[in-house]
Amino acid sequence: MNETRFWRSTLALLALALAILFLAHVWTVLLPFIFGIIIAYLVNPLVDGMASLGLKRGRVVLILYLLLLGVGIFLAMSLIPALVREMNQAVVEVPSYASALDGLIASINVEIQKLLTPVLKSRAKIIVIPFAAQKFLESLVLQLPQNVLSVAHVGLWIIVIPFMSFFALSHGKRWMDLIFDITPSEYVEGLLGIIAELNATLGGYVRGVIIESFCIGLLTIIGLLIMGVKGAVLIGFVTGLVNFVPFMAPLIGGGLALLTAYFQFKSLSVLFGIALLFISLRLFDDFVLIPFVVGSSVHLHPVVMVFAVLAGVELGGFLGLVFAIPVAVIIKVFLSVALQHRKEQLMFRQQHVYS
Amino acid sequence: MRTAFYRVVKKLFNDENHWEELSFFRNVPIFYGLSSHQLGRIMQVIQKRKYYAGEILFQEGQIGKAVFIIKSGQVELIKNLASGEVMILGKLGPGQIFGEMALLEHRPRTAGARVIEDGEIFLLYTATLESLLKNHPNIGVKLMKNIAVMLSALLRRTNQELENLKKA
Repeated sequence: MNETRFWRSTLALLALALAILFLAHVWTVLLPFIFGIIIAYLVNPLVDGMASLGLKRGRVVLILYLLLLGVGIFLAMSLIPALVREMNQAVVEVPSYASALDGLIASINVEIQKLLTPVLKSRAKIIVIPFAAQKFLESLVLQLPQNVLSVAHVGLWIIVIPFMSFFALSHGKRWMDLIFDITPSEYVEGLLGIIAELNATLGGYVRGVIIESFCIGLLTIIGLLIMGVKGAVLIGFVTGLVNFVPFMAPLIGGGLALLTAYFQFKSLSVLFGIALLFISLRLFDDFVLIPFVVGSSVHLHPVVMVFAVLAGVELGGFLGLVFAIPVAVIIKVFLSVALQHRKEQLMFRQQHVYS
Repeated sequence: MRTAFYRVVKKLFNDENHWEELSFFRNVPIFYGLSSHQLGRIMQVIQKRKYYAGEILFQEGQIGKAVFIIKSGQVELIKNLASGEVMILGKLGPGQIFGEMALLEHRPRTAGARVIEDGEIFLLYTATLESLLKNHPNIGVKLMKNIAVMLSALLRRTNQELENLKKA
């Protein structure tokens, strides 16, 4: 019996290792399929609501797609040209901003040397701000779209994501029925439990985080547009995108807005206004969006967050940075649910041994 | 003209399977008094599975987390006795519900369940139901009332059986 269990566990581990190896090898191809399923998962409550009225699922999805297509075309026509214009503008203006920042840093370094040389003598030369803004900002702005494009294979994504999400939405229930039909009866309740608990914990969280990021991005755009900051749409877009990662929205979004405003206006009052905008956004996020929209059902330890972000960047570059925390949350919930089920199985076995 | 348009739209969008299943659920005691829309909401979170004779649905002592509703086929509830014998507590058929105690508490099942005739069974998981109740408390009130009525009927039946045993 023990030998059988050993071989079964060994085979299961081997199969898992092979599956991970395979996924690691083809993950860039799998990404659009995964995104398609995520989109279907996010839109599913809406389709469920319509289907609960007795409407055909497939037809509802079709109508929803036509509506989404309309909204997509509207957004593409109104937001994308502004975004592209601002990206082009940023690519042109970044070198001049960066050289100005380098000049500023150089003058600060000179002041530091003047202050410290009398005290530290020759050792004062070591104490400088080691930052080459020109190189850093150029690489940041120029490589950002490149990174996204190289991972995404945009053409493939545009076709695969809607295709996948359409089928997941209209046939998802049938796929689930099939999965349950082929699952041995003793595991059905456990499988149902894992899916239901993942759904109950994650569903609201993922939808909440997306709404939160959308609100933060939109409010950033509105705030910066009111202040007349150049590149407001681009900065707001980046802020919303990195909002998945804790503290990144004020750090990256606020940093970009402050730098742009500094070179545009050279005025401390505008910088103060931008700092106030990002502080207000942070407070709004902490006290309104997170408690009421995201909820507090999922928590990650800060160490796990940092590790997830670093691992995400290592694995998937910019996309890895954006999706590191949601993926870490999914893994955490999955593990805790699976452990709970395992614990209950062990309790059940022990009861049978002692009775 | 308007009627013809309505007929075309109905033909295009009306899901006949939905109404068929809805009329089945309407007769399940736990769902008494729910509106079509409320029942429709529950139907979206219910999982269906085909079962074959001889399959074990759950064993006695396992932590109960799902409610089972028989659509077709037959199931028997079994209890393992200290003597090693297996006692059949009862046989259930279409429209009947079992394992409903799992909705109230996560405790070990007091009996096992085995399929004796091929059929289809609906499964409703407690966590799914809880999140549905959180979002639609009006459904929760009706469901909980129905469960209370079912349990009180069960208690009355048990008391009657005890009386009968005393008399015997």
